[in-house]
Amino acid sequence: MMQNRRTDPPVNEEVEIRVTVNGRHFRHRVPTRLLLVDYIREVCGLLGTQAGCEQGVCGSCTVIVDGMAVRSCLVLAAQSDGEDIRTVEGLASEGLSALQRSFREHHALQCGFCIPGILMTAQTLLDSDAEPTDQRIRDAVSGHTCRCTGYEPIVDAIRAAARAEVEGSEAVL
Amino acid sequence: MKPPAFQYQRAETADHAVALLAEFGEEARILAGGQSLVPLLNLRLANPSYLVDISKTPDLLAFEEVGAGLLVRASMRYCEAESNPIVRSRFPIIRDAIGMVGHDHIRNRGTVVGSLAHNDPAAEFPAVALVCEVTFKLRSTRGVREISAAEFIGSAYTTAAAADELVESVFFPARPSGTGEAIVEYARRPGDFAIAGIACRLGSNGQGLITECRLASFSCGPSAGRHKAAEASAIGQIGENSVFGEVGDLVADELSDIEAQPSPYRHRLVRYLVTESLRRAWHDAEPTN
Repeated sequence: MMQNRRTDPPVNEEVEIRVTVNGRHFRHRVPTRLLLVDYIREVCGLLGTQAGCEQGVCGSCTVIVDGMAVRSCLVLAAQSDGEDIRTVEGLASEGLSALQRSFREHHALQCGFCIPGILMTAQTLLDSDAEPTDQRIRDAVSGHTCRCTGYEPIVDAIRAAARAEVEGSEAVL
Repeated sequence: MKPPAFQYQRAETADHAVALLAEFGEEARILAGGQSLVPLLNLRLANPSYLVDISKTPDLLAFEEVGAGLLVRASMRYCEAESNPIVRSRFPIIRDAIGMVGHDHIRNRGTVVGSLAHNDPAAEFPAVALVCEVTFKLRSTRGVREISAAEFIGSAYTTAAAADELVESVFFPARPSGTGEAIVEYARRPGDFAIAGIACRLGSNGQGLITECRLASFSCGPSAGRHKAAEASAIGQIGENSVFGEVGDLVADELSDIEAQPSPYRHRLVRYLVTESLRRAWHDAEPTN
């Protein structure tokens, strides 16, 4: 049987994974070839995470795995067994999060396709650095492509969200 | 695009991983961080029948100090070493090279050893491995062998590891006192692959003379490589900018000779990168200069 497998391309191989997505526990059998981004979208039904370039360049598929921003198009769902995944849907609890409100206030999204990924990167930045410099913010979002080229308002929004958090104000507005 | 179909197996131990490699041979690929392999799968440039996932294999995780050196295991992610105080203080070239790899997202998942095993000609770590003269530990069911970086690094995307061999670890020896190291590259945007890059080590006799010189280029040819003639020219010279510039000319001339269409831009860029990396390494070797 092994001999046959070596010559015939293996098909429909599946593997069982247990993951936590936005605090909910999931257990699924998934195809080995399924990318994490497609698992999130197609199996979990969470459509906020975008599949863009599918080669790790554009950053649209960025999610937070075990506290770190990663490209979900460069991770197999099979590899995510046991991991804690947070997507853009996990940012908001009641209404939008402070970071999301800041993006809205600063008109930081145009078509919006890239924003779920940028929000996840920005969230990990703010989690690790309460008062990031502009250079640090730019470094962080440099791994993202916004084809609307709306970068300045994005940096403004992240900076304002950090300041609002530091100043302890209730709203970013 | 999406990856082609394949079978997937998580390796429980290093021995398990090499047993799987022995069974599936050339149709199997090791999956560590996946930051090079998964894009190749998505683009259908790689089409392995079997993937052996070592990303969570316990005896392949992390790094440790061995003597005064650093043993980096196959599944150690860039992000683990990036902020480590030992790496920052004693192996700054590793820290600096990691900072040049992609973006945070890639470093959160990618591995040093994976980059070496992949041997992309534009990657930083093959050049760092050549300059640090690291030792590669290759494991298969046939046994374990240790080989030098010069033996391991092949031409583009090839290495001396056989299809059934796992690159289990890479050992970075301690840097002797009186030496300095540096890595410099130029890319048009942060996170992009470099247009050209140089890694180097300089040794000083404490009185301003160069006693040791190791110099490797990357993203300058079919693979990262040392420049032995240029290295030899520096020995015994005074560590100063004019000497560094002369070494830069030699390296740039050598690289121009292998280019189908030598470009004045690349020549100037390589000369600058060599000069700048030597200047920084010298400053690192002789902090008072």
